[in-house]
Amino acid sequence: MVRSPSMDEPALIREAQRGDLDSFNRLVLEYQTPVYNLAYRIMGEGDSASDATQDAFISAYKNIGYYRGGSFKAWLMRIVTNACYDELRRRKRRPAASLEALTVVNEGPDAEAEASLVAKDESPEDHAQRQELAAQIQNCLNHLPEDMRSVVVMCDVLGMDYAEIATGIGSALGTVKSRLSRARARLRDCLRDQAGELLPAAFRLETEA
Amino acid sequence: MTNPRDVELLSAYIDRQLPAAEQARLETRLAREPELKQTLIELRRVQRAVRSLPQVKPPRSFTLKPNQVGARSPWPQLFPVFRLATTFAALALVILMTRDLMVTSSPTSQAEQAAPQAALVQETIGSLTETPAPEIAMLSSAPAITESVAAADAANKTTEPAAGGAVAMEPFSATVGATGPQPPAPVSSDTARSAANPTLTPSATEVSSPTPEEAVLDQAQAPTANPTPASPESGLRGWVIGLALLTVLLTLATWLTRQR
Repeated sequence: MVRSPSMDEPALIREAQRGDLDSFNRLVLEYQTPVYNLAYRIMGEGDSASDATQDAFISAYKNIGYYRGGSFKAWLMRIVTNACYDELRRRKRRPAASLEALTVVNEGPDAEAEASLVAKDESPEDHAQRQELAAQIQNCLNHLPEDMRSVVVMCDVLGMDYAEIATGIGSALGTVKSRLSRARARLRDCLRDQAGELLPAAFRLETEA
Repeated sequence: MTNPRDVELLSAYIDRQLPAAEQARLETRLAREPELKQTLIELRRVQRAVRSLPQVKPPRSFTLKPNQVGARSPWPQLFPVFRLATTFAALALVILMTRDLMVTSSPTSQAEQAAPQAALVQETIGSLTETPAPEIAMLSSAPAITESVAAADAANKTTEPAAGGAVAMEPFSATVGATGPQPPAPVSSDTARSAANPTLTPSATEVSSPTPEEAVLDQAQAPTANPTPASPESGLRGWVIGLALLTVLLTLATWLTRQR
């Protein structure tokens, strides 16, 4: 994520800690895309991701007085991860209403949101294949345990380093390494079983030097 | 089948998170163990697949509104403060205006108010017993001028001996004539008091024979030897005007904070 040059994050955080909502909203504008993407990949669909993102920012504003330095992005990610876990726990208590959402394949408005970011020089066939592959990967992510899912998304989707992820999940660095390796192993098995033929050549036939 | 410990090493390896020594050992093993290398290839494939996921655009802005977080604008918090300040200012204004009206409409009260001023003049003159007679006469010259503005000018002139001395000599002579022969200088403190405050002794009243209004004016203007030229009424009026302006401003601020 490229940070806007005019943004003085520590100053905005200080103002937000004094209750300045405008300063906090500037931080929201800065971080809402990665926060929403994490929520989207953990929840697997857009509506729940929006709810979790909104809840996370409200919670962050109310608890910003407890922020004690370090990576603000990681601090936010921890809050949104917890918001997602809360929502997933609520779903487990009411499985009839949310079973479909847990195994949903990207279609409709969410797929459109992703399509809006697809490269313009992409052919319609490539675009369709890419959409299908993304849906399969997301489906495999949805089948991961929540703690593994959040770690692999933070690392491979959001590009956070291990230290930030450790802050983001509130665990030690060793836990991050362990969860990430297990998540990748499970994803490998899932993709081999469900999306093998969908994987592009670069993913399937690559040989390492 | 690669064991979980090796998968963890390989996962950290593709993220370049292994210490240099551990990385070197793993690379040696990778050159010797095809199964380990195959697992590495698969993990890299998975990583690239997940990284290929497109970034999802948020469907809307998630900026917060005050009602979502129970935050209140600082302005409404100022409303009760301004309201209280306005109330006190208005109350003080009413009291001052009432007092101002009473002072301006009642000569008795004016005289009462002026009495302490006269006492002050007595004390001042008492302390000037060694003062040459012309200067004392200058102090008593104020009643001869009836208009307040002119009196103020005259009082100012008394600070200039060359200009005011000749004018002030006339009432002094009258005083001397009425009270009988007395040494020209120094003047006794009793005489000085009589000359300065005609309302206190009958003889002084006869000499200067001012009307009651003039007497009051005299008392009011008597301290002109003192460098404070403002009368009590004008001072009070200044307070009233200032307080009225303050009340208006506070009312405006109260209204604005309530609107927000």
